[in-house]
Amino acid sequence: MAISKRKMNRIKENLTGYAFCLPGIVLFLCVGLYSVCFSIFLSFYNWSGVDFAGTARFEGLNNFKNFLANGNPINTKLFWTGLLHNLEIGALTMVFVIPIAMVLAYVVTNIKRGAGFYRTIYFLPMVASGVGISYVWKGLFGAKGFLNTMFDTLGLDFLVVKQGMLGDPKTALIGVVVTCIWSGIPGTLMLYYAGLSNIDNTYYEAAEIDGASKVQMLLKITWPLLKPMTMITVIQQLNGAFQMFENIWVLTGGGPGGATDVVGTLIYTAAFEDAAYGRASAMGWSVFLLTAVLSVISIRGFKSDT
Amino acid sequence: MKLKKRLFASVLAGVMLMTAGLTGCGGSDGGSGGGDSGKKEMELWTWKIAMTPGFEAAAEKFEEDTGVSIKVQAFSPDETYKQKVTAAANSGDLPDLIHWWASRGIGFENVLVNLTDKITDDYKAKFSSTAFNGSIVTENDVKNWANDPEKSDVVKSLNVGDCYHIPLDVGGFFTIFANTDILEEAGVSTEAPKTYEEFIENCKQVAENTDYGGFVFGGGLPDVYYNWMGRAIEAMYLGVDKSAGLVNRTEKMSDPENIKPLKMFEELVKSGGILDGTISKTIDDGDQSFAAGEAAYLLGGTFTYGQLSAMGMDVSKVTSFIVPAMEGSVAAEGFAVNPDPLTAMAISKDSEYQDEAYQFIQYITEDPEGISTFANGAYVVPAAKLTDETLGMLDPALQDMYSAMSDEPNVCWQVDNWEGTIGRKAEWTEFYNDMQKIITGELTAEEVAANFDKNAEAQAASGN
Repeated sequence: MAISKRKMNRIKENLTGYAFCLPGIVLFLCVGLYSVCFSIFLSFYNWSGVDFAGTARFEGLNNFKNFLANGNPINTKLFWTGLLHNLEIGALTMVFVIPIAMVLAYVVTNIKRGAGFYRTIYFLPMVASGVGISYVWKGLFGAKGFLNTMFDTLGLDFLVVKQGMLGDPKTALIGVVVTCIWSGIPGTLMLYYAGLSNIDNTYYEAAEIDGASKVQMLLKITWPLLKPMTMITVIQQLNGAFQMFENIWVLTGGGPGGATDVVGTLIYTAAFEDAAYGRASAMGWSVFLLTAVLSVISIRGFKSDT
Repeated sequence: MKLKKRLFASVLAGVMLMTAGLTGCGGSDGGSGGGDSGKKEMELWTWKIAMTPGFEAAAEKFEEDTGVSIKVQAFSPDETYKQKVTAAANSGDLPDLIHWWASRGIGFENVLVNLTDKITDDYKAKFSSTAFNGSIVTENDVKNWANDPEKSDVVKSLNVGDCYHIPLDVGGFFTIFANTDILEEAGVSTEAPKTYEEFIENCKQVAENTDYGGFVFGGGLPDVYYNWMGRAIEAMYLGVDKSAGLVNRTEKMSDPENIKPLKMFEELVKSGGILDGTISKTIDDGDQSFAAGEAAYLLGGTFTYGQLSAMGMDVSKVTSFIVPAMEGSVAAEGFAVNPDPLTAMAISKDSEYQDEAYQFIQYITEDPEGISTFANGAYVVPAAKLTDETLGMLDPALQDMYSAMSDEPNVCWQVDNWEGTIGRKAEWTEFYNDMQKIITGELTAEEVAANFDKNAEAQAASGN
């Protein structure tokens, strides 16, 4: 039953590979997995942040009831309103990002001259710092910012928002969505660009021989073949919308009057201002479950459609 | 050769693993340390960048006197600091001295030194009469925390009289700053307006007669207007009983009389006297706007002069006055700013040098040299009751601020400390948000008051 030399060599070879993976695995187990498990555990406790073993109090489902089922009416109202804002941001961003990115990807794929230049311009938002850019947007949307000044100068007074776009509850969320569209386009564009580049040209040639119009080619060839990219985009945008925090925090802080509060800002406030880490974790996991369900529905929707 | 390469790779992987393990799992030896020389070294953490020079100057003199050095570290902004302290408390890495907000029931008293025994009447007499309001647990606190399902066990375990931090500085809100140049240009009197109505009219005149705004404040933070101005106007107008009744859910905001202060705020908004964009401004942004000459009036506190000066404003053109009362106010007589505690200093239970840490707190709160060195460097009004000698050692502007504050509890203080008060609950958070909607015209004063009453009722019914 002696192990053959070949097998021995393979084990040795694999061992080196495993050894290289080990730091990453250990790090993931210590930091990643531990944090996730602790956070699930925490969502059933009341804990103010220090000395869990000595001071945490088991709350059962109370943390969830607090904001989901009127355990605390104001927290419940804030949570559902915040969630609605997440959904609105996600839906509006998708509606604009997908067609714009698709058209731009088509342009970048087909233009003969200056493609590199356009690619650089379009991908620029992806490499810019999110927080830094949010401050720029805040300046643009201010009461005396670029937008109001421009509208005023052009005589388009009806477009001037007196308190600035982010200072008015009616327009603040629109302002946030504009920034999300701007930052969401490059990643989606890259996906579609890769998708379009991989479509075999012979499909179009065959369709052309069969007398198909450009629109028919778009609907019957391009769109179906880009569906996996669209599915990834939808899931990415959904995830992005539900995980949204830092740009809203910088742009509006959730205001005015809670008009741009999302679950992320509520979690942050609960954890770091109210020191209610249990409730904050419970909110985080509730949103995670919702995102997971929506993602599964999206995947199934796309699969059944194909 | 191939075997050597593989051996090298395995060793390298092992070293990487060891390094990751050591760096990941290694802890520090806590905040304080002896250093190589055996010299006592303490660590002090703060979130107030502007107060760091005060701590450093006091630490330097403290070292000259005692030989104990203090390393001051600032972490900003507020939330970052809170996270830093929370994480350090969990890992046993707290510094010896922890600078914190002067509030009761902070949630991590279990890792702090209990200073209750030191707080005798004689000791308290060394401070302004209201200085310990943010530090000593009251009967109301204990009762309210016991009934609050969301309070942690650390807070619920506190007893009446418990004290975990010593107040360092005091200050008051309810102060309006005026740019006399703008007022003169607008043809408005530079004297302090006698009533809130006159103040509104002044703001309106400035907005109509000049390109400047009338009034600016940190409107991006929902509670700034109410906490720094609105509650004083409300308490002066309604009196202590009714105002405390709103806090304790025995009064309705929509009552025709109780709603009047809110309606007056709506008047201020409708007058056009609030600078456009105020709703998006942080407190610093508001100060910056005023310092840049964008508005005639700024809402602030005793701490605002220093901020304006640091922003490069010529403060000789600035006057200040206390928030004016509405006509018909029942408790406006003698209203003055009280020295409310702002920040405090606590000692870590893990500190090797607890006695020295307390000695440093005593130095900056009791010793004339320590008090003045700290206060002048940090540009704050000390929490200590000052003798003429100590007062004379302070910067002239700080002397003015100290003298302008009254130890006589004002009407707001009486509301906050109303016997049996439940404190401001979550309906107030919603109320502050709704007040922002008055500024944007989305809600009227009537709607805001109705929402407040409805929320208070729902919260009470749900046991919150």
